[in-house]
Amino acid sequence: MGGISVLRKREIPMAIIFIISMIFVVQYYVKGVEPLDTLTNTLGNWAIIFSALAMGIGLINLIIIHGRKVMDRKGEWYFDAWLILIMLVTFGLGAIGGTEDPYYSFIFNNVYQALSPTLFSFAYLYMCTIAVQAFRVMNWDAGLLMLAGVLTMIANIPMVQVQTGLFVELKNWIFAVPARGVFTAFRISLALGFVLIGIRVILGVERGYLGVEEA
Amino acid sequence: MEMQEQIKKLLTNKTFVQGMLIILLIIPLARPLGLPIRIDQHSINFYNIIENLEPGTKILFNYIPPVVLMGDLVPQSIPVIYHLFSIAKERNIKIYFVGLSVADGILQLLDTEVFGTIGKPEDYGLKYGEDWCNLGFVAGGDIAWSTFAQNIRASIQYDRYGNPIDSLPMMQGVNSVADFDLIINCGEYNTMIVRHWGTPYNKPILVLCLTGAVVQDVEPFYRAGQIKEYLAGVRAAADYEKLVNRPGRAIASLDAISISHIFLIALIIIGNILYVMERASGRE
Repeated sequence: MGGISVLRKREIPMAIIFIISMIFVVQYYVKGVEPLDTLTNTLGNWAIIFSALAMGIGLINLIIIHGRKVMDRKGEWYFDAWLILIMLVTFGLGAIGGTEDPYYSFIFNNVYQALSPTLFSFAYLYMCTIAVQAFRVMNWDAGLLMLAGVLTMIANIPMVQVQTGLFVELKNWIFAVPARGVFTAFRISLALGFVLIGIRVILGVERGYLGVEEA
Repeated sequence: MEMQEQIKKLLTNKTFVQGMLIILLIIPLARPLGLPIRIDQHSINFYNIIENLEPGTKILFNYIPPVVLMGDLVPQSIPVIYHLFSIAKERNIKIYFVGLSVADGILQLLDTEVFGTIGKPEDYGLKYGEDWCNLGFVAGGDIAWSTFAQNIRASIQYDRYGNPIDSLPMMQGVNSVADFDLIINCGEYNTMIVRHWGTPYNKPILVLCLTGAVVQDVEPFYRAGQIKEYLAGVRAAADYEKLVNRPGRAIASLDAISISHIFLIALIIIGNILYVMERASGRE
């Protein structure tokens, strides 16, 4: 009486996740079982189709979010309108003429391709400005950071590399010993974290993806 | 003291630092100075691996640089692909381009940036479908890599140009990653390539990656032998251009890197000298 509809019960998606995850886990370790391989291939193919669909959902989502701002005339709404217009024009050209369409190619090659590195270049300029101000020997820690940073920068200058191998050797040591040690530890922790989250999802402990608030 | 203040003001002046950097980057790019370079050992090893490929080698080339990283990745891919094309016909090397990614990355850069610079594969005597092919873009992350690895036809039925992949002669007998001899990745997600393609099928992987933190991400796999060799950043691209004797934009940009680095280091050193002097006078 008054219970949740069977379609809205959390147990169903959790059971689906559990079964599918287990199929993939078993298939990873047990090779050469034809029905299992076929099943994972089919499921994998579905996942690829869902990923492609997710891009379409992203497109709709963007239109809804920015469309709302345009409708409400909130803040700098004209940027939202511009985004929707360009997005629809690019999508339309690509959908009708394909990626070989000259107008689509023009937008891609001369606008999109040019804008992204431009943003990166701006970030570079700001990073340089900040580096000049931030690299100060205020204490031992800052001194060490600055030393490592400046040594690496010097070693990266092609002209210096030709003149002397000393800086390159020092940089290689920084990369090979302290930096690699930290990165390896970081990578292993990350992998262990992934495994843990995977187990939590499979066992139904982690339910954030279902829109369920964790206690 | 007044001069000290003036210099300090200059160093903290964003317009001065950025303006000077722009000038120092533009001048050598517009008029390369031809400063000498020393070829890195990684670049030499990478070159030797390609140069010594056995006849009949099948290469799976995952080409999917994201636009934000194209400044680092595309210049590396141009001389590497040039190298491959130059030896492919003579040694019957087959190159299978594909673009597997999570959702980003631009396979089209192969047509626009690479072929636009070095010319089409046909210019090297390579025939589409027999010597090279482009299997197209597949999104999906982990699951896409895994499915592709086990059964290519489960994730791809048509190539980038709309041809059924079974109609391509070079796809005969190629069903999974196990059927390739070498994997090259030009994009992000090197970890996934190692996890789904390299280690399970025991395939050598070559990687084109970024400088800085990404190299540190690749290094543990390199040391463990899971990545056979890598190139990193525009610096490695310039090395490779020199190795294949085809100077391009990477070599031209090295002068800009040299000059801008020297400028930055000089500013950092001057800033620190001023800081130490200021502290000393404060103590007095």
